[in-house]
Amino acid sequence: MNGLLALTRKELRIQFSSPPMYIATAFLLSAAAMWFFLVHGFLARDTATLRGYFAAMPLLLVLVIPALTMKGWAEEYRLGTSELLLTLPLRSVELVVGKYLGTMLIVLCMLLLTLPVAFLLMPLGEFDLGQIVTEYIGTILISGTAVALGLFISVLCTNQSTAFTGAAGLLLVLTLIGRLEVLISLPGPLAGVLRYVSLDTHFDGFVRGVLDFRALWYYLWLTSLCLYLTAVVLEARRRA
Amino acid sequence: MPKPSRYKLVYFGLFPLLFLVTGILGSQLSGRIDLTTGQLYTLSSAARGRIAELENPVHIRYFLSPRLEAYSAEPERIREYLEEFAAISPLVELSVLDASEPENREAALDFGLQPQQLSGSDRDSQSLITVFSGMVVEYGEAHSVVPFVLNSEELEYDLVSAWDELVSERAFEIVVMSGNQELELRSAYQNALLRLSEAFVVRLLEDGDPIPDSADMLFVFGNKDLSTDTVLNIEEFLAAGGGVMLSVEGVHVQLDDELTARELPRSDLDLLLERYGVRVSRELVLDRYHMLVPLAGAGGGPESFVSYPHWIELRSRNAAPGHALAESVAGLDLFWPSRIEPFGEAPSGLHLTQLYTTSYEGRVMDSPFATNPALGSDVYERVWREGGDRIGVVMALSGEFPTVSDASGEGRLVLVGGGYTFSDFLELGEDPMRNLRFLTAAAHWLAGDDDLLELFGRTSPDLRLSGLATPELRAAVVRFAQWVNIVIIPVFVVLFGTVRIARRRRFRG
Repeated sequence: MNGLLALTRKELRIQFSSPPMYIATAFLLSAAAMWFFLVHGFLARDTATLRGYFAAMPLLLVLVIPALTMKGWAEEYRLGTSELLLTLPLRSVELVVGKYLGTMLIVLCMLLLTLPVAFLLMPLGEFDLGQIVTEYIGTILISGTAVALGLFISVLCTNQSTAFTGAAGLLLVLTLIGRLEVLISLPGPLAGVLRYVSLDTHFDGFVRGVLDFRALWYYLWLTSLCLYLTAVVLEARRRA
Repeated sequence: MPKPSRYKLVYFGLFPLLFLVTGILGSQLSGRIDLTTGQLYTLSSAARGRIAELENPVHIRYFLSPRLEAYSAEPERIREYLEEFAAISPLVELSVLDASEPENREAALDFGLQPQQLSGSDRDSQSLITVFSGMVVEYGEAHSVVPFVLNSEELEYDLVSAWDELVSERAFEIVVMSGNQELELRSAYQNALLRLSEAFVVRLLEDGDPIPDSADMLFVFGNKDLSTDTVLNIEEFLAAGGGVMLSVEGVHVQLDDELTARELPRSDLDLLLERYGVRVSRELVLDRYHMLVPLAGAGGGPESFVSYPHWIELRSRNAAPGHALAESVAGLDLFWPSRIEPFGEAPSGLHLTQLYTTSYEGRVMDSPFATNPALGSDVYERVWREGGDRIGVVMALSGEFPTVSDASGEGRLVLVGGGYTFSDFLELGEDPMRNLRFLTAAAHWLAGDDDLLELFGRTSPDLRLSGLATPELRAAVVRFAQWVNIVIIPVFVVLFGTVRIARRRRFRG
């Protein structure tokens, strides 16, 4: 447990010394707010809800999360510190979870910085607090899944840019795949599977104020699967 | 043969199997926790009550085009909701039918369902699809149709209305008349009539016609030319336990170029209302909470929007707390409203509620009236200098209405200040449906249909940005929030990062 916490702290230190983390945070905050206020038109819509703000999150996270996870394992390989990590008296699972927790703490810090949007707009109308709570829960869950996916891609790559491109591409596909049917006609069962696989589809309930158990399970399941696959790859490297 | 290691067994045997099984099982999970205020996405007690009363099977057919599911998550919510509905009683049968199949499409058309053309979501605004998402509720030989539903928030109300029509055979009849000879019902109140006919049986009457016995409610739009016969009919109808909705004015504004306004002479209706303990004043009510109206530029110049305090916004916080009607709608907008206030002592057995007042910044304007928006803001500046107060503009009365005849019953009356309130004229507004929603809710309240009124209230929670006094202040707060979130916080993050990384590098150096 101590080793896991030490690794989490190390990951946090690395992230806080990393320019891409600050750029990604500034991008997320600025782009989400620009979308919400200027494109979506919060004032013109005259509606006390943050649905528009959070609805933009899945697509923005496609760019932001890979910027955080690209360093995860790829940088360790490049610098040669991965060998040191792998020789630590920690299990592969602990190494994976340690890195994952470190990155998730950064994501939580980012999301904390979105709170001023809610606080500043609160006096304008009767916002549904329950809905805002589920919107944050949903954003944390989708971010958690995206981080796990990003770290899995990172463990497969030896340089940061490949890790970034791979993770962003995979996240983009997973986010938009549920809408493929808009463009082409698909057989019913296939369309159903694609909708189920899509990250975006499951996010919708959270944005409306509903904690959907199937969506909750989907995010937790996919996160665990990615962490497991990362651990498998690490374990294989360790044994090789 | 070598024995596989524990590592291989766990990593490549047990875990993949576990993920496969849990993945498949998880996709079958159902259930949710609704954290919205008022539990908007949870089956209401009214709907559950309807199902509990059921004696014969009801068959719900939901005709759905699969392509619609790619555009919106709503069809899935609708399906889940219907499944929840069906799960309560084995007497509710549910079929979700693929409307892209030729035989289902034909059946949908036979039931009178029509496909609708929709534009894509926000992200795909260029694409258009033609889809079915309609419902047929069958009970015995009869059936009722919900033509198109794409909003799970309104589904419960639509479904229970259709249910009532079939199972409970409850179809309320509204007779409607215009009390203003310049505004003919079929031409000036098209939207109101259309909206009411979605949920009620609507009949049109001429001023002076007797109210048919089958009528449950009477809606009178405007009072400028209302005849004595109609006033007497209203009195009897209310005393017999009927429901009446009156949009009344004490000052009439002519819809001409100058928008000239004049006081209406006292009429029989005034006398009747005064007997109920209510008075419609000969003043115009203005409010700091008001809307903008479009004004053509001088000499054909561009149109501009000007502040118009005669067009007032009534919101939830202007409403009487705890009143079922006010709680079921998000308010309404009034054009040139007159003050509606208690007058003397109300008769015993009659309960008066000031349903809506202006904000605490309400004012009144006496004759001579300034109603032309082109006059500029000077007129209103003078009005604002006087002290403001909450001024009553909508009133609800219920109980035993006094009468000279021997009719007896508990009637209900809604008085709305403003003769044009429900006319198509208000299509100018930012949300023309707001007043029409009030009209539907008023009809449910007048009919004493509390269940449907509650369900109706769930379809339109008041989410307007009404927390601050003026539109200018609202805009200023939003501008501040924009600056903070788009510029200040991101810049702060970048500066913090730059300083931190620079200090770290210096420390290392």
